[in-house]
Amino acid sequence: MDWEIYKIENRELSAEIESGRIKLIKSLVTEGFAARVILNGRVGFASSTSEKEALELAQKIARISEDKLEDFPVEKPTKVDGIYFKEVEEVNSDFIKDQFEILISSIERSKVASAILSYEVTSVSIKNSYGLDCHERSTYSSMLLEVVHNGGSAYQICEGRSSKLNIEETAKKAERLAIISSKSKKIESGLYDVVLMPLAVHQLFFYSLYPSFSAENVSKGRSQLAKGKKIGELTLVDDPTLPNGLMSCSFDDEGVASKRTILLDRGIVKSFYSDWKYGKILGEITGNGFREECSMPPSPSPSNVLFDVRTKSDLDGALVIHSLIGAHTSNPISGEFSLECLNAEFNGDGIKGAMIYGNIFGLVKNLEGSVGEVEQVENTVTAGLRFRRVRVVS
Amino acid sequence: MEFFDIRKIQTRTLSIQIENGAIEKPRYECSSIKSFRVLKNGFWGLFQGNVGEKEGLEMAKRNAIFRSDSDVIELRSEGSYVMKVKENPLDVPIEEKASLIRDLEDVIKDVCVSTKVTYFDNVREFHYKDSFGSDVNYTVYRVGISVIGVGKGRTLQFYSQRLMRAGGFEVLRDATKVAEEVKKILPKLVDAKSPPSGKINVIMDQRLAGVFVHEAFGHAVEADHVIQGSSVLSDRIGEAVASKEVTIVDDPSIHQFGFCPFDDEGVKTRERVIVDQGILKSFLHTRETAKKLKGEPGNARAQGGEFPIVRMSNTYLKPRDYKFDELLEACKSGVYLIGSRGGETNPATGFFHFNAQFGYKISNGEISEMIRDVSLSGNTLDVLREIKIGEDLKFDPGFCGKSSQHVPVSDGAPHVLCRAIVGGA
Repeated sequence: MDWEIYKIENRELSAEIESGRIKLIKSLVTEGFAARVILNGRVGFASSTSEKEALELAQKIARISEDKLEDFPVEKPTKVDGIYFKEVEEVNSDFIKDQFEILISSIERSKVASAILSYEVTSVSIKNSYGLDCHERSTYSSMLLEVVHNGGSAYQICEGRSSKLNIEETAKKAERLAIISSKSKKIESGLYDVVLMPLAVHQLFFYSLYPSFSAENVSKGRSQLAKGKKIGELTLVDDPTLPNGLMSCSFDDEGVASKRTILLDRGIVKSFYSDWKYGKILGEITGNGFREECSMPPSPSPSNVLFDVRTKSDLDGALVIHSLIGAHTSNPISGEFSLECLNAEFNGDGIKGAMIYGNIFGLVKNLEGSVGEVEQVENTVTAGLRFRRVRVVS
Repeated sequence: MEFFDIRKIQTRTLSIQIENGAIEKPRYECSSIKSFRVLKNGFWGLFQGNVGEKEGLEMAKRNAIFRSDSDVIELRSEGSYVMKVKENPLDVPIEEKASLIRDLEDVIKDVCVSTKVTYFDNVREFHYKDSFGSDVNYTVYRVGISVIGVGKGRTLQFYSQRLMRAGGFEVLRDATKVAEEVKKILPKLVDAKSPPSGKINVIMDQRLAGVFVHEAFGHAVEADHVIQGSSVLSDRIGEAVASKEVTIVDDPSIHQFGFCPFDDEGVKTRERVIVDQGILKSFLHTRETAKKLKGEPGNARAQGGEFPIVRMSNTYLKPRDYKFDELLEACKSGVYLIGSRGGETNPATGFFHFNAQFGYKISNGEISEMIRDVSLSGNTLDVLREIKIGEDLKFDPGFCGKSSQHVPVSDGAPHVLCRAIVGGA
């Protein structure tokens, strides 16, 4: 029998803010184990708070499995900078209170409806029967924020690897959008040039485009993409080695060393992101076998997805969309989407009740250029993106 | 007042899926969680970790270090519940479960380029104690299957159906019907046309109307949103917020997917009428929001050991008199939208958005061609002002996410006719 033990330890200190006051401080210390075994070529998987139980159950379930794997990886991790900041280990309640004061003092005319400030330290270790024994310690800080103003509201998020979050700037931006939202108007239905700001880019692309680059989806007939196919002029790179990247890591959740993978090169499909199993099937292992959580087996998932858009554009005359509602309802196979704008503005006025719709592959072809600074929102590293002639229904 | 509570939650989940003819990623998940809360000087401290009660409470108390205005309803609750099931899923051999999904895949495979059928069962053992002397425990089973087919015609499309409920393995004895539905719809969906767009008449089927009630209305009556000032229904108790046809209820005590005999603050659950004939009657509450807004607790839920927050359970729109044919006739021209790929709402503004799985155009009161990739958006209160409600209530299960916590729920409704913005690619 071959085996793999994945262990994750998590320590988190967080504060929840409700109606402008800190309501709760929460700490958690958790430890989980996930075992995979290969018994007669069949893969069994189980997770538990006990390593022994995980290993026993993985063997038990392997008997009905038809999931095939020949072996587990043994690789030397890649050196990646900016994953761990010791200062996050030292975050305490007083530090959180100071950050809260910064948040509250940054909002002048509106109200913080709710916010969560969170600081996490995570240790992952993976061992397998082929001799792999790798460890990584990482840190992550985040603030989720909703600001309300006279019936308007705005959501914003800021994240980082260190404890230094850009709280003031995020809060001011949320307030500006909440104020605009409170005075929002309808716009006429029609075709508009649209700028998706980084949060909206992530929301749309994560659900409608990224799944088409999954090696598992490609090999199971759930993607329209094939190597060499051309979709617009966009360059997309999956890069878990990005210094300070939110999804950066030295190795993936199977122990495969991290590396940079070009997904789209000026519109030409070059590669798909893969885990150990589907990488072998498609002939290219990219080190993208990630687990949604300890209880889930690894599967191909994007890390940091970098949008490389060389042409600069601007906001002039465009419908500027900061965030969307319902992005998860997009069709991950066909790429069709129809989404409600949550925070949007047109010629300085807030917009309400507007829906954009189209197909992600068609949208990419209409990419005009980038707007503003590059930032990372969850997996996506991009500036704002301007697209020509997007259909808007109001 | 100083208050504390302790939750111990043990879960065991089995999940098996078959994809394109092979059983892949079968998995067991066992978890054991202890969560401790202390309320001191109006401020909450929470600690989650695998430690003894004394140490856990001490750790939680260390987090309760500031001052605020939180308080809870004083309520002592006692009780024990073990769900009675005909076929305990833990006693059914794993081979039989694998055989079930293999049979379901056989039903759909001829119309698919790709398949995915998933089985799961889950047992949740919950134990709650608090400083008022409450002592509650329960054991609840949930089982389910989902059937997803990907088909290819003029477009690549997927269609999914599921059956999930609180109960034993007997819940799944009718599972073949679910696969038959996928087999019937998918071959037509791949050649369906794009939908019309604009503000038009819409008949929603029970699943989509259920999602509407949950997403577009239910979240706005969660009292934490009201307290945060992020609900369009703040300060509107006793007011008409919908047509007189509309009665909306949340009821954790019925054996649908959102069933729980006690909430995650140990409070025995019961039916809560939210809207009665168009009048907003009550919000949904935790112990804390109930104290603040003078309501009744019983709607606190948490994912694992997280802080319990106000959540829906089994939320439904009560049926009225319209037969489906009468709704079609009243609609005249518009769309009939079926199923849901999920949705989202902003309770602060009342704007909602969700996607149907497919639909049909309606012309001259009759159903005509099939449409795909269609979504629906609008403002909740506008829609509820002019709505015609059918007679055929059905529930649809799912998982609801809020504040990064996911809990099982079900949404129910009959067919309804309304006016909303429809769009699609």
